[in-house]
Amino acid sequence: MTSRTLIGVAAALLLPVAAQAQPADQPIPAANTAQYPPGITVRQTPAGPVYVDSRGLTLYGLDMRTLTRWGADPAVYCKTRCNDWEPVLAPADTAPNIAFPAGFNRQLRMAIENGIQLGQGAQQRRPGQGAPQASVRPGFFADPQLAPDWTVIAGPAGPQWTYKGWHMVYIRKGDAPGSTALDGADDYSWNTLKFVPPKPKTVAPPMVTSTLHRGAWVLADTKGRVLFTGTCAAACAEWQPLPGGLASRGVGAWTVARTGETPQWHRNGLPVYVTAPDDPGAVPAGATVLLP
Amino acid sequence: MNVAKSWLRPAAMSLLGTALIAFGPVTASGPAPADAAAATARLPAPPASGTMGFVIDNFAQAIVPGKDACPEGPVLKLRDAYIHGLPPTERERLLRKENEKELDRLWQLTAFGPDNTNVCSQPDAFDPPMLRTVRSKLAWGIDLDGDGGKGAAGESGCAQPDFVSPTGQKGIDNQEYRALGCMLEWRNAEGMPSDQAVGMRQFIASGEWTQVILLHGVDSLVRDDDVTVILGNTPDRPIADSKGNFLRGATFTISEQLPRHRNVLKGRIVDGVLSTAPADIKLTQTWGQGGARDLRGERSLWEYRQGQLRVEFHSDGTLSGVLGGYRPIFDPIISPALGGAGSAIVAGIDCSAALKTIRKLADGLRDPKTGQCQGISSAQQLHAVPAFVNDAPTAKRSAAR
Repeated sequence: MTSRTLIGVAAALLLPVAAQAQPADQPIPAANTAQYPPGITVRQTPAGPVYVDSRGLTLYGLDMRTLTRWGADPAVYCKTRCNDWEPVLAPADTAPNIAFPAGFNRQLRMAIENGIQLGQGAQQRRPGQGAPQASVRPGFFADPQLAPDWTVIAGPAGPQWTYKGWHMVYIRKGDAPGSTALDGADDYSWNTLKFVPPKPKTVAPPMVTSTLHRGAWVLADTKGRVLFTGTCAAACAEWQPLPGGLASRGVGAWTVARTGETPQWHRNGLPVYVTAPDDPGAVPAGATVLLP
Repeated sequence: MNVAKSWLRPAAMSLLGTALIAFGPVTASGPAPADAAAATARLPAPPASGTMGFVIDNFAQAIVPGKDACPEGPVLKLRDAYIHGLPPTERERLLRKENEKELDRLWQLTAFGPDNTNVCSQPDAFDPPMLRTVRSKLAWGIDLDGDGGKGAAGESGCAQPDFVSPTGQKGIDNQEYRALGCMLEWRNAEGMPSDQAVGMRQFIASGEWTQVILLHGVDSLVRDDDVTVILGNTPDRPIADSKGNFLRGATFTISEQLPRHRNVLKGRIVDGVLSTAPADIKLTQTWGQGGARDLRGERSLWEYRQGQLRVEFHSDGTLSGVLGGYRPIFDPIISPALGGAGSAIVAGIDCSAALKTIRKLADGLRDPKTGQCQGISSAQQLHAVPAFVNDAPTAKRSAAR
């Protein structure tokens, strides 16, 4: 195969931006539950809120996605390594409900061993998709990307908590409460389990979403520009309206006002503005940020 | 005619040859003195602002064509390596048409090991023979360790024999070329562009890896002891003509928002050649959109430790030369490693043999604890055309030509 084909293969095997990251160089996803395993809570640290155990020790996730070089099943990576880390175990009788997906490589080998030509007998799936959901038992998450926040994997020391599908949960032996010093260690293999509040559900026009602004969810447009309202005199001439475009009907508390030069969204009767594109978090003085 | 041109002549009718000639004979090693004098005499004066911008329109492994580079032939694909290792009678039997499926099954299974490992996803788990390596003494590159050809270990490296550049400069450090330069992905049939060159051209043209150079403080294109060089990525897609050539004078803005990078280097110009002092250089190297199961795809990058840029100004306004440095030893195989078993089965690449060869020839980034070198010297050939380059928004913005 040529490198063009190779590049194509590589591209085909890769999925869009991973949604379940905890490494600081990746987008941190929001929690999707307020129910945590026993003893686990959220604690504020200088680096931001993180999950901690009952002693206040920061939980770290061992990102299995960084370990594929060392074995096809990264869940057993710590069987002979990780002496400085202590697994956060689930009750011993807990049945694991997640596993690292074997992916395309195992399917390819099985197809070769059985003389099946790819594209015929062997169904090709992209890594991360794992086996079809129908082929696994109910409650088992074959695709870590679709897993809830807390699942249990078969770890080297027994059933072990896993966060957001990919991160086997550990604490650092001898760590001090509140410390996050090892966040990103070993090329982002070890990452603190960062807490982002669950994303609120909103009823709003399609171009309105929620974004984290100073640790809290606020409304923004799909470009990340924070939405705000307010009343002002001369200063607000600089404020940029959230354009109503061709919208003719309101959504929930949102309506389109056509009294100005261009249609503008209003919420609860108040005009809605967006921050400047080159500094989407800069809310002008006197403005009120819109909350979900 | 200098040595480089005679080397390039066999490829002159090919795209690769065209590209290499466009790069010019100077690249990393400096022109022959007579040519240098003539070339610098034709160089125009820099703009009064001292600021110049370029967009890189070619960025590929620096290959020296020639049959003597790989006298044993190219690196064998997995299928060929399997056949090569068979007893003659078994080889003859399996090569019969009626046994094709059996042969396919047998050689393809050599890509796999126990516990669902394969040679590309887990290359460390295998112990294959080394690849066929480049035997020629010629390579493009830079004398990274400054040993002038002694092949010495230096303060932070490991002793390896140096190359000589096609223009005669000694001490060229490019062990990545020695290790992988006989792979068919690097060295296509004589006179044809390599697959790597074609593939990387596409990444450069698409805006995914697009790179720009912004120079500040240029007082002379012939000699200037203090030039600031900003080598960075831009999300802006180059505009090309109907033949794929980048148009001159397009506008780009440097971005340092991951996965893009911005490197500030200290440079000087001597005889029309711009060189930068050693510094760690990072540039975008994305593969697809990033991996869900393997995050290396999102974290791969062109990383040149103790990296140096060495480019020549041409009278037509272009730049050509080499970016060199020490790459972490896994980096050269990151693409097929991400492809996993598919790279081995479809492309026939033995990543484990490639990694073993790279590790054996590693010559930089010595780990003081183990004494093992964790980096391999490398050189990427580049060519750039004039462009308007804005610096990253977070830095002082300046439009340049």
